[in-house]
Parts: sequence; C-alpha cells; structure tokens
Amino acid sequence: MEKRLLEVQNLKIYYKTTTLPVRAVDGVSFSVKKKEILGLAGESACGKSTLASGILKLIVPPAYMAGGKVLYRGKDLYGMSEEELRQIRWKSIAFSPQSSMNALNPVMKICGQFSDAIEAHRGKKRKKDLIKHISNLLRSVALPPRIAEEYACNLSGGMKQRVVIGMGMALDPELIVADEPTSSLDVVVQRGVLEMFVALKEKQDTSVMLVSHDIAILAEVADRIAIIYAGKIMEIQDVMGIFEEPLHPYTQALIDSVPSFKTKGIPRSIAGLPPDLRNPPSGCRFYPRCYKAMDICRKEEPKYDEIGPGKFVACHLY
Amino acid sequence: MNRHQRLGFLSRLKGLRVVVENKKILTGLCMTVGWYIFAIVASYLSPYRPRTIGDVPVNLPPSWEHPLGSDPLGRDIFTQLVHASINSMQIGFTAGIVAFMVATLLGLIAGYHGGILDSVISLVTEIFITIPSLAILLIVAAVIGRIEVITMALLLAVFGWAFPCKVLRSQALILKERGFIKLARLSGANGLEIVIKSILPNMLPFLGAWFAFVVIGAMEAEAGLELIGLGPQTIVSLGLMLNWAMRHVAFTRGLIHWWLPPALVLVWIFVGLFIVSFGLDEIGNPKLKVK
Amino acid sequence: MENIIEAKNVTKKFSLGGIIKKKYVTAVEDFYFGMKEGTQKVVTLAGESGSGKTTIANLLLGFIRPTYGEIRYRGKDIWKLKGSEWRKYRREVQAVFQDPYESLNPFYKIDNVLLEPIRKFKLAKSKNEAVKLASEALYDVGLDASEILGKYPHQLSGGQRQRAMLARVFALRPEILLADEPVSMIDVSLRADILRIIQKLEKEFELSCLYITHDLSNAYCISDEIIILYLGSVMEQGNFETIINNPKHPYVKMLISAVPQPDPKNRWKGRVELQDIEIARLETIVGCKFCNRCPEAMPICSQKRPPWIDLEDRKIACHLYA
Repeated sequence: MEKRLLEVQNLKIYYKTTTLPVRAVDGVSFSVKKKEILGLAGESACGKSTLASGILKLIVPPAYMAGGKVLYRGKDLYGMSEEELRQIRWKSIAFSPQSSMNALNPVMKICGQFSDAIEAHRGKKRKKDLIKHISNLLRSVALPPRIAEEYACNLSGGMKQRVVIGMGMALDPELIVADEPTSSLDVVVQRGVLEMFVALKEKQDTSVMLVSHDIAILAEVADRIAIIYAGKIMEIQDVMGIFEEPLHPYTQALIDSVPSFKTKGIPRSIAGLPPDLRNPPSGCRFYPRCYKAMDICRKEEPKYDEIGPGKFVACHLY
Repeated sequence: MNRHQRLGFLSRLKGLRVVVENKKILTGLCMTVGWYIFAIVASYLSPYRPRTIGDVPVNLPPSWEHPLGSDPLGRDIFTQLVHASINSMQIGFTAGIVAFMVATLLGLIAGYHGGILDSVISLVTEIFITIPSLAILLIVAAVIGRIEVITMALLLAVFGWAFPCKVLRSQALILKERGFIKLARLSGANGLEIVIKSILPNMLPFLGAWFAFVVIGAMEAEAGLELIGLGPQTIVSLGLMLNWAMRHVAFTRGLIHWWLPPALVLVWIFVGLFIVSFGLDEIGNPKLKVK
Repeated sequence: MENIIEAKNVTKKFSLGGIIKKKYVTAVEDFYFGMKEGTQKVVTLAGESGSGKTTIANLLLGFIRPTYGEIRYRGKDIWKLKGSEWRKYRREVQAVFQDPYESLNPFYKIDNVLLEPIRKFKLAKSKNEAVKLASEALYDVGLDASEILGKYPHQLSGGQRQRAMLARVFALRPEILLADEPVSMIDVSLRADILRIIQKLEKEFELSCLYITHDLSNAYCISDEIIILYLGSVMEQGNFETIINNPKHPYVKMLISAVPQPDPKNRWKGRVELQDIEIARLETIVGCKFCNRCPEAMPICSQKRPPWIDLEDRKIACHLYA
C-alpha cells in the first residue's frame, strides 16, 4: 500500500462539445509504484495524452474532469487548492508534454530557462549554486554543461527534448509523467533518452509514467505496461507477461501490428477504427474489432478486475 | 454536367460566397465602391459645375439646394466633393494598379527565380525604397511645373511599387519552399506555370491586402501633392479641394463645410480599403476556407 | 540494362554564410548509387537526421545541383537534359513525400494533383479519360473516387491524402519511386496499409523504390536492400536481412541495436553514448566521421577516410575490414 506513489481511481475526463461530450478518459484506474517505469500504450486518440495531462490537472477547457480521484501519496490532487497543487507540480510530479521541444523559448539561454523554473519554486538562489545545479542536471541527461550557455534555437531536436526532461528533473521529483517523449527523435537518441529514464529510476528512485503509442519502446524499458483503448484500460501486467501471455485480445492485436526484425513482411494491422467517444458502443468497446468476440461482449461491458497477482484485465474471456 | 463537374461548380460558387460573405470585405467594399457609385450618380445629377468660378453665389452656407454650401469663388462644394472623389479615386486606383502590377511581376520573378535576376531586381527595389520619394516627387513636380494627370499617376506608381515588391518577393520565397511546389515540378510544370498556378493563388489574400495599401499610398501621395500645390491642378481632386480651402484660410474662417468633407472622404476611403484588406487576411487562412 | 537513375561521385556542400571566409558543410560526400531499368526492388536509404538522406532525395529529383559529381538519367546528366528527354525523366522518376498535407496545394481540389500530371505527361486523350484514369488509380490504393474527387486537401484525413499521393504514382507509372519518409506522419495503425500499397506498386508495375527513412523497422517490412548513411557518407550497404542479423560496421551495429524491439527478453544491454557534434567541427575531420564515437576505433581511423570495401555479402566503408 505505501509503495504506491500515485493512485488513479476511476478517473473520468470528458470534452465538452456542442452535442454529446467526448468521453476521452472514461473510468480509468491504475497505480504507479515507487521506483518503477509504468508504460501506457495505446493507439492515437485513445485518451492517453488526455490522461497524462489530466493527472496533474493540466487539462484546459473544453476538457473537464467528470469524476474519480487522483491520489498522490494518499491526497486527492483534484481536491486540492490551486496553490497546494502548484507545490506538487514540478517538485513532486514533473510533466513532459508531447513535442515539448516547442516549449522552450528560442531566444532565451538554456540556463535562464532552468533558473526561471527553479527559482519559481525554490525562491532566489545564489548564482554559483544555480550554475552547479544546472550543470548536474544537464550531465544527468547526457548533455555537456556548456549547453547552458546556448540558445534554445541552436540545439537539435534531441538536445531540446533532453533539456526539457532535465528541467523536469530540476526539483528532484518523485514521478515524471512523460507524454511521447521520444516520438520525434532519431532512433539512437531515443535509446539514449529512454536509458536516461532507466538510470533515473535506478539511481534516484524516480518513477516514470511513460506514455507512448510505440509498444516496442515500452518493451525495452518499462516494468509494467497498461494498455488503454477508447478511454478505458484493457489490461495491466508486468512487461514479460504482456508480451509472453497477453490477456486481452487487443493487446495481442497491438503486439502483432508492430513491425520487428524477427519477421519479414508487413505486420497485420487491426481492422476497423476506434469508436466515436461521444457515443461509445454498449458492451465492450473493442467488440467490433475483436477476433475473439462473443455475444456477451456486445451487450455487457466487461468488468475491470485483478485476475491474478498484478494482472488486471477488462475482458469477458475471464 | 457529370457529378464531378457539378461538385466543382458548386464549390467555386461557394468560394465566391466566402469572399462576399466575409463581413469585413463586404463592409469595406460597400464603403469604397459604394461611395464611388454614389459620387458618380451625384455628379451626373448635380446641375452645377465644380470648377467654374461664379457658377453659384459665393459663400453660401449649407442648405437644401447646396448641401455643403458654396466656396468663396462661387462654386458648389458638394459638386466639387463628388467630382473630386471620383478623380482622386481614379488617379489613386490607376497609380495603384500600375504600381501593384509592377510589384507583383518583379516580386514573383525575383522570389521564385532567384539567381542573378533576383539580385538585380532586389538591388533596384532597395534603391527605390531608400530614395526619399516625397522629396523627389516634390522636386520633380516643382521643376516640371504644372504636370499632367497621367504624369502624376505614373510618378506615384514609380514610388509606390518598391516596398510591396520587396514584401511580395519574401512571400514568394516562402511559398517556393512549400512541399506542393516540389510536387508541381515533379508533375512536369515549368517555372512560369508554377508561379502562376501554384504560387500566385496562394498569395491572393496577401496580394489583395497589399493592393489596398498601394492604392491608399497613391491616393495619399496625390492628396499630399495637390495640397501643397504641386499637382496638375487641372482636375478637381480631394487634395486640390483641401489646397483651395487652405489658400482661402478656410480653417480659421470656420468654413468647416469646405475643408472637413474632403478630409472625411479621404479617411472614409482609406478605412474602407483597410477593412477589405483585413477581410482578405482572414480568408487567407486555408483552414477557414470551406470553398 | 542501363541505369535509369544514377549518382556518380556526388558531393553536395552547402554554404553557411560568412562574408570573408565562406564556411561550408558537406551534406553528402562521394555518393554512388544506381537503379537499373526493369528491376523490382525496394532499396532503403537509412540514416538519422543530418545523415544527408533528404539532400540525396533532392539531388536525385533534380531540385538541387551537386557540387561535384553527376546525377544521371539513362546515362545523361540531368542538368543537361532538354525538352522531351527532360519530360521523360520527370515522368519516370516520381516521389512521395513525408507530409501529405504540405505536398498539396491548399488552393486546389485534390483532383488537381492527379489530373495535372496526367495532362502534362499526356497520359489521357480527353478530360473524361483523365478522370477515368484518376479514378482507377484511386481505386488501386483503396480509395473511393466519388468520396475523394471534388474535395479540398483539408477535408481529407492524413491517411487519405497520402494514399491520394500514391494514387498519383499509380496513374503515372514511373520507373523509379522515391519515397521520403512516407509513413512517418501517418497514424501507426494506418502505416501497414501505405506499406502494402508501395509493395503493390513494386510488384505490379515492376517499379523500383528508394525508401528513405530513419525508421528501420518499417522499412524492413518491404525492403530487400539497405544503404546506411552517416553524416553524408555511406557506411554499409547490402542485403537488408543479412545486415540486420549480422551488422559489421560499428555505426550500423549501434544503429540496429538502438531500434526498439517488442521483446522484453532481449532488452538493451549497456548504454548508448550520445554525441552532439557541432556542424562546424565536422568539416575538420579528416578520418572516418564516426571515429570519435566508435568503440572499435583504431589510430588510422582518425587519419584517413575509410576505404570502400567489397565483401562477399555486402559493401562497407571501414578500416576494420581493409
């Protein structure tokens, strides 16, 4: 129990529209333990990005929270005041949004951007201390300390991405929520960034919630993987279990659709399209595309249950 | 018409509708074109002659017969105003069109073609931008003396083309790098085709906005020259009206019905053209276009 | 069998400005490449950003001129082609680009992108025939002509746009297709479809495809050969499967091991060393461009450019195999 850093309980985040609300995150429950990398995998528009920003209440209208709790060390983040939440953001939980490279001010030096962030949370510091702190941070993301004197526009994509992650680390958070942190990076740089997350976990006990559409990168670095589809979690297992014995048919289909060097030829893509989240189908949301569908799947929504130690699945097969 | 052609026709109609339905463009056009039409009609209906001295009694205050009264030389001011509007707008638009066409042609060639042509055109453009146009205009007008209307329009064009040319060249340079240009080249199009078919249409709102500026610039310059007495003075224009008002010290004498209307009309036309250019800016964004 | 398209000794330098002393960066160095008529294969040109692959695409398509060397079409320098020969080159060498939205002129309907080249290359005798050809091509890529024609680019989805670009290729029947990152901006679930269409083009039309990408996993699905670029030079080239299973060049080993595989039993071992090289410093390297990151570097690697060696199952540029 005390090993759980973050616990999400039945979280619902919807988007207001002129008609029905889009149920982007529809009753999601999971936890992130201390010193673990939890991968969150799913196709595009399955709600994973909404979920990632929703954890730190960083959603903007038309998105709104429609129910559930996000417990950090037992306290509900949605029940806190804005001031309390600000204390938690960055200091305890850091967020790295998608294409965060664009979050850097191109005409400001890197050290300036770091110090802005640090001083905003820890008050003014001595210049010497700041410089030392920034150098350490840069080194931890495998960047040479001279980068601090560069302007953001002179850095490559991979460097910018690492700077943003470094900024997230500036206040030693316990948890980093990273939304597609490597999606626009070269494959070697991608490996470097992902290995950096692993190093942070090993050396500083940091937990990482890694959101990605690429299940292959999660296979390389994650400890546990949660599969999300159409706003709901379909399965959570440890990484070996997911790949060796996937429980949910969607997980299997997802794995089959990933190209790898082991098999030549074009992998099988999943037929059909994800459902319209304004009007999701009754019963299981994956039913129209599921090759193991049964009659009950159309009528009744499967319960999300723990069917074994650490194995969660929402499927009528169980 | 088969189904595809019918779809195309409807889309194009809708395209025009977007332009016309845009409130800003509509407003602006109503202001400028509306006034122009009004002025033409009024100039035909008016029994008075704008330049003939002693046409009507002098210094009449505004009345039903003479909505803006008459000036110290016995001419109906309202008639002057409408004729002046027509002439000013015609000079301004002519100069504007000439300047704009030159700017577009040279700007596109320089921007798309690059190379030596670009260097030469850019150099010439920079020279013209740097030359203090007002000073030269004054000198030329003063030296030549009474200049023809045509000459003045051309002079205005000569000094109006340079800056838009520079801007349009930048825009062409930007568009040249767009992906669809690559595809056009792969489809066998040559340089001229690409400029006309691919670059130009994507610059239309931009061109429209700058056309408005060029026209405003020309009208402004014309009014300015006339105001200080260096224009042709052969036809009545808004600037000339202001010049007469100034010479007869209309401002101090409180002849507000004489000096204010031409100034107001100038402002009205400029604002109208500006609003049109803002409207064109709006529809320039392709994502807003559902043609 | 002559080479349809060929790069001989091609080097491309870009100037970085500088008034007194002009600075250059060499984007591509001494590049050799050739594709013969009538072959049916997909060759992957792989490289990370900065490797020069986009420059090579632009050179082969005649958008930029090589600083040294020649790009040849059927034996003739493309920059010396005129008239009908030039048109033939234009038609026979086609491309599909990364961003399907960027590649489309927002002012025109999507029909334009299909009908315009048909008209220019005289592939149909009348407007009706052209529309028919376009519709068939759309069908070939799995699109319904009545749903696509008449629409503007922003009214279509990304997947539809990219398919329409491939339909264009179907209609033109080129000999060579340059596919520059054709799926990197497409939704992951739709990539397989695009790859299938490219494979269909290859098998049905005997077309050769140069698949330019940094994503080796997707390329491996349909490609037979691979050329790996690093900072403008080819490091290794040969049969894709052979090289994947047994890479010899140290950079290629690093690259392939960095591609994430959905196999948690064989995770990454050790750590990769990242290096952010300044472009200006690149020009001063006289030896192998990879030597300061290479775990197997020898003294000669920093002194001389590696020789191009013909091993029995591949070609490689590395002092280790000299």
